[in-house]
Amino acid sequence: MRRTVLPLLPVALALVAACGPSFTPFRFVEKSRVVGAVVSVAGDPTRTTPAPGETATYELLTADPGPRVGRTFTLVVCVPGSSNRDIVFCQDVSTFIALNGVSTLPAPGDPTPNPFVSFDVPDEVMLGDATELWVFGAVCNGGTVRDLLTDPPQQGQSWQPCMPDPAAVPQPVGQLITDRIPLERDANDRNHVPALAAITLDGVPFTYVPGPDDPLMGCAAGTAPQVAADGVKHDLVATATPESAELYVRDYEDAARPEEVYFRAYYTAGHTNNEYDLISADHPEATLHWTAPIAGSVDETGTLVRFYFQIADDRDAVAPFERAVCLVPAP
Amino acid sequence: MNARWKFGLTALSLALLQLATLASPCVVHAQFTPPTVESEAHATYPQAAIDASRGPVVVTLRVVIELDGSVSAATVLEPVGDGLDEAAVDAMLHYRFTPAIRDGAPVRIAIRFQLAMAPPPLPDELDPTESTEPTEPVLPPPGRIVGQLLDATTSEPLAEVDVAVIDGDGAEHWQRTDAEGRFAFDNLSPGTYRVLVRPLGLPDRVEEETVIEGEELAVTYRLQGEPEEVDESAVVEARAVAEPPPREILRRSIPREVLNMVPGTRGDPLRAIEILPGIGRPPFGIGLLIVRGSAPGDSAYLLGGVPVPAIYHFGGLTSVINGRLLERIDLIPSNFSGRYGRKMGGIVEIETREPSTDRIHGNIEASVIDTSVMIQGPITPRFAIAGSFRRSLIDLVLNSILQNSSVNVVAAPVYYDYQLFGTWRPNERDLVRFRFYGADDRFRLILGASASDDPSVRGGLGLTSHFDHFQTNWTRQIRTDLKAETVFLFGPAQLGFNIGTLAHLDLGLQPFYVRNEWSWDINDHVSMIAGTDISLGFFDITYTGGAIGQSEGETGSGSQLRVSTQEHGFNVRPALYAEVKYGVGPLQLTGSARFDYYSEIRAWSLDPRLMAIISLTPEFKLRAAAGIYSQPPEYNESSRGLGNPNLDPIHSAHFAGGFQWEPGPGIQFGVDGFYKQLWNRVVSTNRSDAPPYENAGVGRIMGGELSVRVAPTTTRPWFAYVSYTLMRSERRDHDGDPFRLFDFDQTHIFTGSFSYTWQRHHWSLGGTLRLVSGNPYTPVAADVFSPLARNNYPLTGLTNSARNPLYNRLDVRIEKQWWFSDWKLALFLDVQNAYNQHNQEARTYNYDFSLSGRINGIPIIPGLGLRGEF
Repeated sequence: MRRTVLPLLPVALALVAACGPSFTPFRFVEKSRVVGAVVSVAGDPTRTTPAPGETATYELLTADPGPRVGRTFTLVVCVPGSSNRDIVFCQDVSTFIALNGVSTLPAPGDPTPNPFVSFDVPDEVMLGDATELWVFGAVCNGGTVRDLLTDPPQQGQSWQPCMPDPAAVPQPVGQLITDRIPLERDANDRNHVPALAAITLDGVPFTYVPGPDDPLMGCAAGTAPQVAADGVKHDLVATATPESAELYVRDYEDAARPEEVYFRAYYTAGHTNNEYDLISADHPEATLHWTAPIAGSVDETGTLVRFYFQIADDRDAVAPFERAVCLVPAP
Repeated sequence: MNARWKFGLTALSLALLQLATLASPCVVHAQFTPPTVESEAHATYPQAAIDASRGPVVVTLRVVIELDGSVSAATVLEPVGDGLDEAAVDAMLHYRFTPAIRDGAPVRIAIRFQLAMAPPPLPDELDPTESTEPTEPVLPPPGRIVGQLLDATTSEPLAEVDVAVIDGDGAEHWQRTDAEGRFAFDNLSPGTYRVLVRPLGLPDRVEEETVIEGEELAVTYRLQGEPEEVDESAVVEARAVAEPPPREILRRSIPREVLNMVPGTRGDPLRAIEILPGIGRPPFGIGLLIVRGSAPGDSAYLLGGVPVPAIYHFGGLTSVINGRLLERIDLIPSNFSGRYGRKMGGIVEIETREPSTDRIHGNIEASVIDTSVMIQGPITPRFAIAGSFRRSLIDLVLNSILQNSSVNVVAAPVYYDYQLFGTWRPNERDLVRFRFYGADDRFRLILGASASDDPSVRGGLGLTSHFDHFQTNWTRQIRTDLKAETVFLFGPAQLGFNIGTLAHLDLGLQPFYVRNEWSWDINDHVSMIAGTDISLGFFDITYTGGAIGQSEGETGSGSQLRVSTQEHGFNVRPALYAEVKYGVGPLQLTGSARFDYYSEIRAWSLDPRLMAIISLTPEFKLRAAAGIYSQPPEYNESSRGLGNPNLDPIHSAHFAGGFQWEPGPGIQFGVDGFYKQLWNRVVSTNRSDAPPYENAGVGRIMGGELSVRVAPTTTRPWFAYVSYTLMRSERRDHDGDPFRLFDFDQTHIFTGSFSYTWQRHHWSLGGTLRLVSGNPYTPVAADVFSPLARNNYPLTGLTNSARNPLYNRLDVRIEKQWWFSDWKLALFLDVQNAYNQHNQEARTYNYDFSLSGRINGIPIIPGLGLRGEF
């Protein structure tokens, strides 16, 4: 093989990347954005792979550093067709099977649900050999989304999902979304959503769920567990239900093996050394070591730190749940 | 019968024909007056041969006879050992011949000569009338050695050259030759001495001399400085030796004297080719071969005429062949002979040294990167071998560094390589060279519980690469004007890598390679080469991961589309080629044609090539060439599961011209221009519902090269290689697209390399400076997020529309040697990027590509090493 050396490039890059600049990690929520998605089958929300003829919902999971912001969006579901080879784009209207969108921001005080789109999976005939559906969309966090269908992104050109807002400082930031929804075409494809069994913070059950509109400051007077801003490391330990790790046969393997189940977190303050930890029969308790920020960066009334946790399997089924602590100045 | 079997039978027939010539008689050509011996010289039968009871022997030598009948060079062709070879060479240099005559005029010529040597009579064979009565023990009167060093080419005396006599206890006595090249060692006790000559910039020469009591031994050593210009067409009673004619208009060579001395290479000869003009600089020095703006996959490294699958460990850390086993490296930057095929860029030919035949030699070297051991020597007078083994040490270093990091190294980067080379001369006509060599690289990281900021890189990161080559080259001089060579190779190889959950590849290859080539000197003006080579093999491939983009000009950092394949099959690529060379007066014309068939795409190519050299004076040559070059798509591109088996071969037209001027010994000045047109390039279709690849790409490359080479000679203790290349390499991927820059387009490439040796004190110091335009890169225009997989993908801007800043770097090498009676010790410091320049090699981005920063190349790397030789 003539290019045997080329696979080495990622290795070399990985080694030298350590010498490059450091950026805010993906798991740190410094701005409002989409951090994941869930698919649930109507009538059986524990399943995440809809079969032909079934109805399902694709919902984006969002995260905000403070109270939830309003979002506008466009989401299209289509059967696989012609597309750019690198990125799956629903481009041909004849392949569309569902479309949903919100083009104006909700009024203050109105609920701000996550962007979603419900769809009916076509029948076997229409699907042909397709094993997945495609999602194409755009989300604008705190602004007005650009018209994706009449003004789609072009290869080689810059494309911003939000319409410019002269009055906004800073300008709203959005995301272009593409995704692939796996379908259940045979029994091996069936996938259920993993489930959380328990979560503790430093050995104590961690149960406080923040409201979407809870303010960033002033939580010290509330019921959220308080954590001192002293730079101390805290243990977040999660366990999943035994059924979470399903058996399935992977490509080019003969026997079924359990799924890999992950426990991961996105958070609005502090830092973790790891993005996720694995949960398995041998290692049932997954641990994330979260280090609180140091004093001086914390308001006297307490700062609400949100945790957007996920229990996920390696077939992209996700069980999201939120928790929060109140960060108070160190004594 | 399908095509591949027809070609197989053709190759088999040619090989059988070569076998059938084993008993063929030699042919005598009479259009020539051969030289005859005019005066002989006495060959001293060495003590080592007496001790070994060797008896009478015949030493076969290659002897160069000058116009005046003197012998300027003698080389042993079939070593017999025990000092007899050296004695024969010494005697031959004192022979005189009547010069060879062609068309009434004397010509310089090389002949094969057999010199008979017999041991002196034993004591019981001496005259019985001599007294044998014991006498009082007295110290024998001392003897002396006087000598002179002459340039073998010009016969001029060599002044200021270090010479030593070394006695049996290893004591050294040094002198430096005077203006007449003379030296003299007095008061030497009778016995055997080694005379060591250290010509500046040339390999050492060691002669064994015997000092007889009270006598003066006069010796003359002729040292070979420059490559000889030998009349190549002469034929003398089936004994004349015709060197193979040059097949290219431009072949840039790095001789052995320079290979291990280039600063910044850690003594690795294969890295030394970077000092040659037209060679691009790959990012991070990862060892990609970029020749005259061609893609790395378009060029090849050949060892003994056979492609080597991987030439570097870990993408450029060090080469897979011990540099001490290499004789020469040649770069053919374009317009190569029809003998080479399936490539349309450049060729790097690696020639290995023949194992030592005089005695056992060895070499041990250690640095922080790796350690190696090499040993070579004769097994029988006609069979010698060399073996080497190297293992990395960097895993020990890296393990220490990463011990407390979140990166869990489960299998540290480990590599090893081995070589076992053998040379067997069963008779005067046959030469069989065995080459068994291989390499293994393993590297695996577990990124803890995801230490990466990129959520897509999670889990393991691993690479395994292994190959073994079992290669045999058999050369037979059938007649003086006819030679055949057969090459056979079996080279199983495995490659595997995985990047977390993103990609997984397992590739197994069992390739065979056969080449059979015939060289025929038809007459004084015409010679030809014809042959066939067949590359065939079985493969197994398993791949799961993102869709693989085109090999060059890929704009994205990954594909959201995942593909999987599991294939196994058989490919055969047979070829026929022929080349005719015609020389008359100052003009030399060479025309060749090559026919290739590629079974994996069921396609063929026919490539005509033409080149011309005009020697206006012996020092000044004009050259020009044009030709068509073809190569098959990469395996993944023509794969049924990953690519498009209906692709066509890729083509390129090469045009080149220039001149070369040699104003003095070892000094070469050259100017060359080149243009390449590429078509049928394999590019991505960029549509998910179409075959992933098509032959829609074109390209154009143009440039000029300026080169100055000053090679070391007997009187020049330094070398300098300076080159500058001005070039532009562009591609267009689809009709209607604008031309864009090639991934490694480097407008300016300047390289200067210099090294000086203080011979007397065994110090050498050198530096290599590189100034190279930064490589182009593609900026990111927007970000696309895939929430289920939690991957971010870039939407890229115009391909290669941005460029890294100018790359500049200085490497320095300093070496000190200590000489002992039987061995040498060397301590060297090879500093890469001596002034710690922060050269940007790439851009890095945060998770959603909204922020970016620079990734710099290697920092200052001081490489300290120790080497012992015997």
